[in-house]
Amino acid sequence: MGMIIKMPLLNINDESATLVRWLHSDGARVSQNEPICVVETTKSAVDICAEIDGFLRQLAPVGSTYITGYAIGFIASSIDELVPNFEHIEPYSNNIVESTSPKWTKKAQILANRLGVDLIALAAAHPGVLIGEELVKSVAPSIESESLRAVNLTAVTHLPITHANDTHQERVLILGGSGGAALVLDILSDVLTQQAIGILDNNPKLFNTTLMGVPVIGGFDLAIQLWQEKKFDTLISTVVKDIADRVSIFERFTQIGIPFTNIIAANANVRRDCRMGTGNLIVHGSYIATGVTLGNNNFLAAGTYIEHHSIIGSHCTFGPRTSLSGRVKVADRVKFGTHVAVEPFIEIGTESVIASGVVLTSHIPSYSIVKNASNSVIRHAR
Amino acid sequence: MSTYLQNLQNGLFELFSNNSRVILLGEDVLDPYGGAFKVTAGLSTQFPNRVLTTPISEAGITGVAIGLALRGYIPIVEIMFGDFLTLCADQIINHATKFPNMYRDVTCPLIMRSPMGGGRGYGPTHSQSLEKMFLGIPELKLIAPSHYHQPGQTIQHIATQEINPVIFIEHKLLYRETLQLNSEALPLILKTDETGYQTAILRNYDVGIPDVCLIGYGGISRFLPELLKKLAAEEIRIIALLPESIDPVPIEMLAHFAAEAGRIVIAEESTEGFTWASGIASQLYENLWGKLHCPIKMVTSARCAIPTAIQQEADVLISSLNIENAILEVISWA
Repeated sequence: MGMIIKMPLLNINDESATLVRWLHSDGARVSQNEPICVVETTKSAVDICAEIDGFLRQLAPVGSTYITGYAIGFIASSIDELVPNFEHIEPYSNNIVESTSPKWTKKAQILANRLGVDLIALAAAHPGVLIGEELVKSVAPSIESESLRAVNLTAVTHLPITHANDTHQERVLILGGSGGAALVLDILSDVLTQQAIGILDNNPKLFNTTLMGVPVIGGFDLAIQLWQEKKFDTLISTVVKDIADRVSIFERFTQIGIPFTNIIAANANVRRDCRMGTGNLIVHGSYIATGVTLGNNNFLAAGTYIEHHSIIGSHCTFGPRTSLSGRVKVADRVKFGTHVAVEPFIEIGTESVIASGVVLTSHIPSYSIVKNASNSVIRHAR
Repeated sequence: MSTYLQNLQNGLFELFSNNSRVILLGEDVLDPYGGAFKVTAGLSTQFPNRVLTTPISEAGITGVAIGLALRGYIPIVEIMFGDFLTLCADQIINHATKFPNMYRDVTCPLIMRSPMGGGRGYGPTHSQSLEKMFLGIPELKLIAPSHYHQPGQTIQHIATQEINPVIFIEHKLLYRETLQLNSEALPLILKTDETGYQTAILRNYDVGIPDVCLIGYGGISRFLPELLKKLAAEEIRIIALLPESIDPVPIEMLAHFAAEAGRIVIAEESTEGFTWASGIASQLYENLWGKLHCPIKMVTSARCAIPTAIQQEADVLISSLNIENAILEVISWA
C-alpha cells in the first residue's frame, strides 16, 4: 500500500507553504527518509522526506502554494499501483459543503416552523424551486404576530343579522363538547343564520350523548369524513383550556381547507369598520369598538371589551369582563384571565399569560407571565 | 486597497511627520525587526530619535511614557502582546487616569497600543482578548477599530483629540486583512457616533427591515464578509454594527439601529462571563424594553485557557459558525 504525501504544518505562523521543487522525477524510485521535495514557508525552506520506500507520483505542480494537509504527491508501493481516490482536506475551514442542494432557505425553514407550514409538502408542490420567505408567508395559515399583518381578514361592517331569514342556514360543527359548546349552542339559539348540526369530542364517554338537543357524534377525526360528505359548512372550536391545543386544532383543519366560522352572540356589539378573520367565538355582552382588528381563532368570554383601533392577533383567549382600552396591540396566543384591565397603547407579546385581575400599565414582552400581588397582606392593623 | 497593517503603518508615519511631540516606545520596535507584528517597520529608520526600544518591562515602559505625557509629549506604547497589559494595569489605572484629576493643569495623553486575540496557535498567554478587564475605568478610553474602519486615521484622531489615556486594541488576525470598503454586495456606512469615533454599519440586503442586529467590534469583523453573504443567500437580513469606540460605547446609536430588528446578537472574542457584550446588553434592555422580540443573545469564546494546538484552539474561540448559530437561534423565537 502506498502513501499520500501531504503538505505538513511547518510552523505556527503558516497554514500553507510553497512547493519549490521536486528532487526526483515523476515515477522515480525513492527510499524511506530520502528527501523528495523542497517546500518553503515565510521563515524557511524545508526538505520533505519519503516515509516509505516506493515510486514517487507528483500530484501538485511546483511554484504554487498549498494549504497544510493538501495532497501534493503519492508514494506507490509498486510500479503499477494507482493513485487512490482521495478528497483534498482543507483544515480549519468553516465552509461545510452541502452534499445536496437545499430545497429551502434557512429563513424559509424558520418561518415555516413558526407559522406551522409543512415545508416538505410545500417543496413537493414546487419541484425545482428554492422555497423562500415569500412563498412560506403566502401559504401560512394564520397572521404573523410581529407585523400583525392581517391576512385572510374580512371586514365586519354590520352587526350580526338576527332577524328571521332562514333561506340558507350555515351548518356549524362544534369542536369540543364541554362548557364552551353549551355557550355556542346558547348563542346559536338566538342566531337564525347559523345552525349547530353536531358536536365532536375526543372523549369517547361523551359519544352518543346530547347537549341541548345536539348530539356528540364522534372524535375530531370524524370532521374530515363529514366534510367530504358535505355534512357541514364550517367549524367552531370551543377548546380554550390549552392554547397550544386550540392552535393545532385550528391549523390542522384550515390547512386542509376546512373553514372555520365566527360565532357572535346576538347581544355582542361589533361596531363599524372592524375586521376579523375566522374561528372567533364572541360571547354575550362583548363589545368590539370601531376600527378593531381581530385575527383568527380567538375566544372572547362574556363582557370582553375591546376599545377602538386595538389589534388582536390569533388564538388568544379572554376571560370574562376583560377590558382593553384604545389602540392596544395583542400578539398571538395570549391568554387573559378574568377581569384584566389594559391601558391604552399597551403592547402584549406572543404567548404571554395575564392572570385575573391584573391592571396592565406597561408593555409586556413575549412569553411573559404576569400576575399581580394585590391580594397580599400589606399591613396588619393590630 | 491596503491591509489593516499598512493602513496603521501609514497612519503612524503621518502622525510622526505632522507632530514632533509623538514618541513611540516598545520592545523590539526598531528596524530591521520593526516589531513583532511589523506595525513600526521603517519608523525607527525615518525617525531614529523618536522610536525607543526598551527592555522587557511593561510596567516600566508605561511609567516612563506617563512621565513623557505629563511633560507635554504624546507617547505611544507598544505592548507586544495584549496579555501583558496586565503588567501595565497599575500604571494605567492608578496613575495615568488619576493624575489629571489629582494635580492641577495636567493632562496625560498616553496611547497604549497592543494586539489582542487568538487564532494563531500562540497558546494560553499570548492569545487572550483581555480588553474587558479595562472597561468602565473613569477617564480611560478603549478604541478597537475593525477592518471596516481606517485604523491609521483613528490613531491620528486619538493623538490629536484625546488628553487622557487610551488603550488601542489591534486584533492579530486583522493585520493581514485587506480593509473593507463600501461595496454593492455589502453596503457600508461609516457614521461618526456620539463618542466622536466611527461606527461601521453594514447591511446584507437592499430593502426591508432587518431580521437581526449583530453587534461586535475589532476582530469580529473578519467573519463578516463571508458570513453576511452566506446569510443573505438564506434570506436572513442582517444589520451589523461595529463601533470602534468600545468604551465609551455609542449606546444611542446601537439602540437606534438595533430597534429596527428587535432581535440582537452581540459577539466578542473574550471568554464568557462579565463581558463587553453583557454591559451592552443590559443597556440595550433598558433602552429597548418592550421592543425586543426575544432575549439578547451573547456569543463569546469558551471560559477556559486557550490551547496552543490549532484545532483545539479553534474549538474554544468564537467562530463564524457560533455567530451564525446565534443568529438562527434568535430568529427562531416566535
